[in-house]
Amino acid sequence: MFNSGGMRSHYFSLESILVTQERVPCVFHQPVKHAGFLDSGSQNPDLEAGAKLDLPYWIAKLFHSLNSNNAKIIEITLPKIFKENYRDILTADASLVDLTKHSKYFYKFGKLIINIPLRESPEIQILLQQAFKDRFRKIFDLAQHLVSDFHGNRKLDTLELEILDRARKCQLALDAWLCHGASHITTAEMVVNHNKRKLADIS
Amino acid sequence: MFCEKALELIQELERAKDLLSPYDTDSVRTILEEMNMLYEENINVINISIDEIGSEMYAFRLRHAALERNKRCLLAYLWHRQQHVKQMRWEFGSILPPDIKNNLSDSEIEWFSQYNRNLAVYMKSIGSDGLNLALDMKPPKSLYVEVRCLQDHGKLEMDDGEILYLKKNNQYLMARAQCEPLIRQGILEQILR
Repeated sequence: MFNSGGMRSHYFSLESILVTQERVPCVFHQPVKHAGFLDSGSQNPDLEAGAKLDLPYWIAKLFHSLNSNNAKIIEITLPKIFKENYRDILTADASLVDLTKHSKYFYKFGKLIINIPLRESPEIQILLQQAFKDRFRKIFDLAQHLVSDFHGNRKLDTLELEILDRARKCQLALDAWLCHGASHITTAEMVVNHNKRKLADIS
Repeated sequence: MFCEKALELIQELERAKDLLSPYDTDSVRTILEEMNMLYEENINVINISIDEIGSEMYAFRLRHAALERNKRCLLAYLWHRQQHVKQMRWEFGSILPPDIKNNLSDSEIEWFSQYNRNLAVYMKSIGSDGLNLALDMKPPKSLYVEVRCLQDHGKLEMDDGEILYLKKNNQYLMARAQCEPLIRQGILEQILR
């Protein structure tokens, strides 16, 4: 039931767990008891008001959901990659930027940030779409013309790599079908990997 | 920091996506201990007087979130391994290579054999005399195919009772249904013209 969309996030999705671990900068407006351990720099058992921390998204989101209109506990600020100067770089030419430099999950993280929501959310939303469109052409080209499986150092984020992988598999399957027809029986992929590992162990 | 061990477990799983690493009993136990500790602490908070609970509330919610997060990580770990084991039934066949079997936990081995059994019962129930779903994964064009043997496999008993010795580099013309599982397991290779 979860296999149909490898890109969609669900309860068991590794990607979704890992992306909610990405850190966001926050400022505490109220003291929190017994949470001093969140700030590794302080010895205090409690967290004091005014503390500035980089917290994993899931913790920040929890405190954010406890915010009420008259009492703010936490204020989440934009992570570096979505700050204005980085947005400018991406708007200028998204296809040259190394998205993985700050986060392996650029788009998914962006989506989470939009949903907080922050004042800049609409701008980030447009930015994500535009960046994806600008970069998609390159992925499309790579998928059709890449000869080897190697695609390291392409500055692609996980979502883009996944698209590239799928597109390449389709392209290879199409090529194979055009050459031989479809009746060729091959060794199962897991078995091939297993045998390779065995060979490596021997040598 | 909460949930560190659980995160490590998930990261490890993500790193080694296409192979099954040994079941990490130690980490799972550590995480369960952490969860028990969080649970106990929260129970203690609930038991103190109502007046004080207000100031404890944030820490309480934080621990609860950590508890939920640990649960999610553990379940995701188990679920992904189970999916992998299921996939292996279709790629390796009903018997797993011993070095892979060593990496499974007891309950995973039990699950695998149960899955095997269910699958066998289901395949037997199709049509009048059963249908092997693992055969003809791709539409066949001929009943016989030419194959080359990639490793010394030993005896193979054919459907008609004849015994064939599979030796490395020998070539055979075999019934497709007979050799498809062997090709999938990497023992034979189909010769293309």
